[in-house]
Amino acid sequence: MIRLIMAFILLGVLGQQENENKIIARQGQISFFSYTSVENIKAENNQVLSIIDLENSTIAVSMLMSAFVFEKALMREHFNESYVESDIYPKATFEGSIVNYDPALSGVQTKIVKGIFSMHGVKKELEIKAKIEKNRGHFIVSGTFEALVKDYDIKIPPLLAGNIADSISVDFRFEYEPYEN
Amino acid sequence: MGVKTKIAISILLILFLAGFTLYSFLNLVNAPDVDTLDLEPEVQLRAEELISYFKLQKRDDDSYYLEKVVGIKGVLNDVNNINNRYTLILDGGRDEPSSIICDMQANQSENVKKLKPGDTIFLKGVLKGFLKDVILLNCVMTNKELYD
Repeated sequence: MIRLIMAFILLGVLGQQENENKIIARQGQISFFSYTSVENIKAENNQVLSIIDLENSTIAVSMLMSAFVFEKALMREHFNESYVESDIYPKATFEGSIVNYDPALSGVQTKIVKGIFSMHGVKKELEIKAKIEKNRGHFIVSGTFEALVKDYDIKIPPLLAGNIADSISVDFRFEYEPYEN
Repeated sequence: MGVKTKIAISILLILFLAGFTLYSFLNLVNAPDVDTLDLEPEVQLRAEELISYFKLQKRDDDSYYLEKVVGIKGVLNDVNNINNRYTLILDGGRDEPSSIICDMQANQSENVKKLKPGDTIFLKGVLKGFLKDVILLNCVMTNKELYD
């Protein structure tokens, strides 16, 4: 019985130590911008989940495609129903690692984040330049990258082709806090 | 009625119809999102019930509540203004690490400012899904009577 209790305590301590190295952002922001001569389209998702394991500098990001907020209701409908088909592919994810990152250093570091981005059923390897700020134990990761619509098997009807840019600018910003289960 | 008059009336009629069609089209294209204040919730749940629904996958169809207006009763854990948006975090219950994240509608800022952690609150919003927490957008404060 004593051994069993000790085993539970040990498992609890190990689990806690494992999570001490992790940080989490539950309200990360990802926004995208499409600029054409016909119209500009901007949308943002303010509930993006991201977890970083500082032990091995791995990063995971997950977002609900239907949680993007648009200026106009019709844009949101087209985005979800015709382009990203959020009923079939509800989430987009990124799994990767921050190359040569030292979490012990305070201040700003610019690093490459390398990994697999999965959206609309398509997986694509990405290398993104990111700014990582560490201030009093708090971490903020931000950056910008370009995504090509054709890389993600998104079909734009010819009639609307002029409304949507071939290359979409994507901004991200995550404020992390210590992970508590 | 002369031919010229008929042509003039026809042109006016066509212009009127074209103008009306264009006006209707622009209204449709530029329509903002519906205000959740005007919508009735399709279901009312306690925060704990909604979280356990997603965690335990009680139904085969896990998209049952998605995109529906859901009424929630819960205990406020936190109010924040991350990303310059008011967000309420509802407690998931004892020993439950998941919460409910409610992104508030812009017209709710005055109501939100009066809240403090520990308050029992009633709100409704459009359910978007579950990551580590349940996510609702376009949330508005609502009346306790909804649950009585």
